Amino acid sequence: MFRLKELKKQQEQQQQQKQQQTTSQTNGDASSTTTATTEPTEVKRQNSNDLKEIRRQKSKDSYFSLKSKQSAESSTARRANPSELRAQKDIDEMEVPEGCKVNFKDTNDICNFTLDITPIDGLYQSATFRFSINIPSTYPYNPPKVHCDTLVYHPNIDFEGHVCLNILRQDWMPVLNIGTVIFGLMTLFLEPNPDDPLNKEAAALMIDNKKQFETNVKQSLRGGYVVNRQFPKLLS
Amino acid sequence: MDTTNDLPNRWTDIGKMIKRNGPFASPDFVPDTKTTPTIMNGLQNDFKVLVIGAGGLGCEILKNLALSGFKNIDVIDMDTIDVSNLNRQFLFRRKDVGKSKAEVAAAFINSRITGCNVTPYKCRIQDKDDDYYRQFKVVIAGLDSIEARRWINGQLVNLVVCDDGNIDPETVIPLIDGGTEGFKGQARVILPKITSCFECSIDAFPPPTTYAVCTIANTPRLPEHCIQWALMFGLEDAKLPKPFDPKQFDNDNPLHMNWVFETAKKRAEDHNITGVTYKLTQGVSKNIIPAIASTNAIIAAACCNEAFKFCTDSSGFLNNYMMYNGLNGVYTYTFEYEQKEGCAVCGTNVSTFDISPSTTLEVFMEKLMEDPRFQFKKPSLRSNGRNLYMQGTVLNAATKPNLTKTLQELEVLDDDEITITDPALPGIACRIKVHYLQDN
Ligand SMILES: [Zn+2]
Repeated sequence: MFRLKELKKQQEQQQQQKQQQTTSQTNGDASSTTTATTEPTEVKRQNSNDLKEIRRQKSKDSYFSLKSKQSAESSTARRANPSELRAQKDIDEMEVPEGCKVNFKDTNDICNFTLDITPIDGLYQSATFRFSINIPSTYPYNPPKVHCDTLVYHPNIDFEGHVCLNILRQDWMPVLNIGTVIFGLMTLFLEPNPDDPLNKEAAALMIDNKKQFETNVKQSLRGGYVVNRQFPKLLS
Repeated sequence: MDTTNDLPNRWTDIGKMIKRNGPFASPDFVPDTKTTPTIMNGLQNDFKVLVIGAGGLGCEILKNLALSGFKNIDVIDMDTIDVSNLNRQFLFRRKDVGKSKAEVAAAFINSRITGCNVTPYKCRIQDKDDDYYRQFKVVIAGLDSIEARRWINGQLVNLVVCDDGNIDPETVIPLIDGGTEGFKGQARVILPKITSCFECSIDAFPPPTTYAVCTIANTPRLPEHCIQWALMFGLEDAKLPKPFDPKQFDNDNPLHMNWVFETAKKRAEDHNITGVTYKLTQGVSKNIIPAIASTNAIIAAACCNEAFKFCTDSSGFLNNYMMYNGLNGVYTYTFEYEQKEGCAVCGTNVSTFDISPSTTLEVFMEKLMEDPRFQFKKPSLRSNGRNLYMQGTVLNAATKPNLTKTLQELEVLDDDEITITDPALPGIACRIKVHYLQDN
């Protein structure tokens, strides 16, 4: 059980000790005669103080004037919220994997940015895909919000730009960070996962006829049609 | 108020706690007597209590406080009463549907409990300033939102005045946080800066229930999947007609919710799933688990008990977390959450740094690195929502030109707060308040 007044007492005792130390230091010798810098009765009275008594002793006026003095100092400055602090740390300390580029429309708004992924290997090699990432005010309790802005033929990304990546939903944990998400998105292009499909046709084809799936991906990246839908030209 | 003129025997039960000493009472506890009713005076005149939220927990909390002798109570809630609240939010009647929760709850308590003075505010907690929060002896939160909890936690931590590492106990306003989810609940006491805060343990907070996007899109099995489909895919689908602008979607608007309900029901029928109801639709879109009245009652009682003990000293209070589970029998467990080193909210003191406004950012940073109070190695600085200097590859180029600018030119004002992250710091960040020295 913790009591606030005990903290106050502890602090006062510490302060008293500190005072004693400094007095004895300035006096040059640690003789016991220099201990009491505060009247003993005074100390006793201070010690018996607690939150309630202090508040009662001070008139309400002086209490509130003291408070408003403090508020004048603090209320003007904008306090960064914890999600923004965490975003600052994440963004500053993350290592961006090769082939990824983070762009800020407004560099000061660190909670909204785009990510360009240009896979350095695999089926989607050399094409560039853009994602919009938003860090919600509940971050890191809730994961970043990710949308794929580039139309892509991919088992885990649908034509509306929804992305199926476990760490963005059911497997998100606050210990993960923006860097992990970027890494996860890159992995989607290196190893598409047909077992968690969003584009069902693409996923089924990847399982049933890998060759045809690969041809479709190539075709889509060159700006061709796949299943009656034209894709943007990302490769020449 | 002269308590002797109160209704006869009204506070007999309270008297048993404040007129007698007990083994758990604080060493400084002085029992009330007829001639010196100090504690009773405190409860009835001096102590102002803030209740945040007038919902399931809030109704219980307000009733408990009022019946425990507290007379000065503020309640904040921006919500209005929905018909589905009436089964457990017992301060509301059918005629109150659509009215402010805070206002109806306050009026009910004031009319029912003689002498009690509940003041309602139909607003967001963020709308109130520091001075408003300073007037309270204790704050009790009965919230269902992480965001609001985080905010009030940060606000109360920020009010604590720390002088040279010494906490001024006068400025410590305890936050008693209650929460329920179905048959589970928790009550905790947060002494800002002294015990672990809400942010210290946010990593351990039970995560929201989410389903894989691909399950929602392709293999729905549960009614929840269908509702989430309507919210995720249905809202964006331009082919589905909607009686509102999907960009303005509001899960408190019955028209919008009805559309989600109908869309989810249709999808459920297509996949032979049963169980999509309007109530469940509301629950899923607001991420709420059906509330159980008894859980609310138990948790609210625990919270008010803590408030009473804190205010009266009649017993030591909870240190610092109590969880309750009524799912299989009744189980409670109490433990101490430890303060997290370098917690983004309470782990670091806001240190003041004296500097001239005409100092360049580069020199300012050098001085920061030399200061033995901090152990910075590669600090990155932001202030007022703007980057000052970022070390990481992503924003380094954009912020490098700032190094030669003065703090004044960078629009850092006297008393502004600078947040600093550094890989060398154990926690998330460190906060520094700039104090400008006048140039000679
Ligand atoms: Zn904390």
